[in-house]
Amino acid sequence: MNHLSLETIDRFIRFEAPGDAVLAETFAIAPDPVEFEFLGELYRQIITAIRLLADTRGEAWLFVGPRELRAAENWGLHHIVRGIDGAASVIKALDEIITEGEGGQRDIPTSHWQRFKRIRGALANELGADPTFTPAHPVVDNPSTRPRPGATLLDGIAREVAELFNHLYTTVLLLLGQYYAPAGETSPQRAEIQATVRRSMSAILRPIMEILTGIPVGEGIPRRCAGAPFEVYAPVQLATNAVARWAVLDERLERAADEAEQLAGGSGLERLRFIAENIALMRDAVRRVGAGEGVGVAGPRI
Amino acid sequence: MRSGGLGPGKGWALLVLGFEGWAQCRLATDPDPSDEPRGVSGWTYAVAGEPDLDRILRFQPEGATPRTPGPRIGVAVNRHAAHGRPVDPSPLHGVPVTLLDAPVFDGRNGLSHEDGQEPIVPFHIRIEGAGVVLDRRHVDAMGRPIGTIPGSATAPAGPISPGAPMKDDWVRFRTERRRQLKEALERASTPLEKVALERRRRACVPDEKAIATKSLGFALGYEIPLAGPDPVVEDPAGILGRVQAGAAWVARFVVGIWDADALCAYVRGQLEVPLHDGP
Repeated sequence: MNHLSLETIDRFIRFEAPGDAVLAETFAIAPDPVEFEFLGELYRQIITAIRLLADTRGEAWLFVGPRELRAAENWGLHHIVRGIDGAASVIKALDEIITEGEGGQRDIPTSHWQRFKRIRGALANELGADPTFTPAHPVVDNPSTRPRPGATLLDGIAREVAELFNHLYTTVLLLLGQYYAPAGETSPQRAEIQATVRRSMSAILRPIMEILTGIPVGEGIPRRCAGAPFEVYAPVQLATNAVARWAVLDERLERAADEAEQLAGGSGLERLRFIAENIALMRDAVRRVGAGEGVGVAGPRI
Repeated sequence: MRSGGLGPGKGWALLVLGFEGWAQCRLATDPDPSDEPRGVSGWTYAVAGEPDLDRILRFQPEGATPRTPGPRIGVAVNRHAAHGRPVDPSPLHGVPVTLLDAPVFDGRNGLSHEDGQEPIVPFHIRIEGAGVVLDRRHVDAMGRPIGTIPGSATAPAGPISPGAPMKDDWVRFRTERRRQLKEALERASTPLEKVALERRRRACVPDEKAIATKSLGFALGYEIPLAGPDPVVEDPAGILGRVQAGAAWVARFVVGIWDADALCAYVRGQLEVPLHDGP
């Protein structure tokens, strides 16, 4: 992870660049390593595999599991995840992803590739006019709470807030796992889980990331600041039954709310107090959903 | 207004003060965090030269950041009735209605309440003018000031302000505002003004599917009991009648017609205060 710069944008442009499809080898007993240089290549390999397996094995063999887990999802603000009912819909969805990224056969100005190129051009122009122009927080490279190669080890309050972020990030991953791999959770509970994930990204994760970018790191000039590490301390492991899952979430959110409150008190990071309240609200919501009570209107209204 | 209506009140032993006007609430919108200060990812934002967004619902211009072009901010008494009879003319017509203690729509990106269901927290209303003061806060059963349960976000049956846009007019309203912004931009003299107006003009797209256009049809209905232990009633001239200060008052109102460009909404409703029998 690096802060925004011409080099960072170059990486995005390279990753989203249109590339030729590479056929996947799917018949070895051990899986072939997935090799790709462009994002589009990866998706084309998946399309090839889906098409091959659907043709040779049939769709009934290929698509297993509850149908409701393949239904369309509305994440609000026009973010719709397409429902999957067969190979054709999978391929159509993946084609859309490729088109969104690369632009597809036609040169689409809204593709990620074209957008990154425009951003790069605009930034290069600004830097040409003013080489000191700084478009982003000067976040250190690969911020981390644990020593590892290539990382910038955070310390002090930056590390404590970063650990809180990691803890909550993993909690949201657990929620997502619970949403996509239910073990007895009802449909209304899944809808509330989805809503809670969506809400927590705006009300909790993003604000903590912003707080981190306000914490200076080191004494060097130019000034550098902390950032969100997105570290996961252990494999994200869902409990096998829903009761245990709710208990784990409750405990994690309880601890996070307490930690955020304590950090707010001792650090002068006043915004953390607001976030501590939000974490407590999230804990209450999860507690009610786990108990089978409704929380309210789960679906996005806008 | 669904609950209670906008008539002269349900009971004959009731003081009813109707009010309406434009309010401002400079709040960030999803997916921005609710405490986002400038507006980055949502459909509301502070423009160059303006202070940070603060989420506070303001019924009066004090502390507001009016935008030009945009509505004139100010909620005032427009109707006075007592014992089921209108008092017209009334010295209270035009008296300002104010919300105190920096209230916000407390939704917390849906963690507390979903969009369109946010309570106003805290709720403390004050009507002061013409020698009269009525002042009271909402307090819940635990003694904490909290919001109340808004009604469903369905539009009221008719326009809640003369000239206010209804569904068919939303696009026309936004088109007209965009034209006004273009004119203001042509007249702007400072770089700061130009940047701010250009930002607004770019965002003011008359697209009927855009949230910022559809928000003109928003209408949040509130029915807030006011049972705070410290009501203030000052009425040396006896304009109000004999107020039962100890009984609960009720504020019923709709906050609607969200003008996303000006960060304003139209408020219309009434304060109901029990009176002792007899004039």
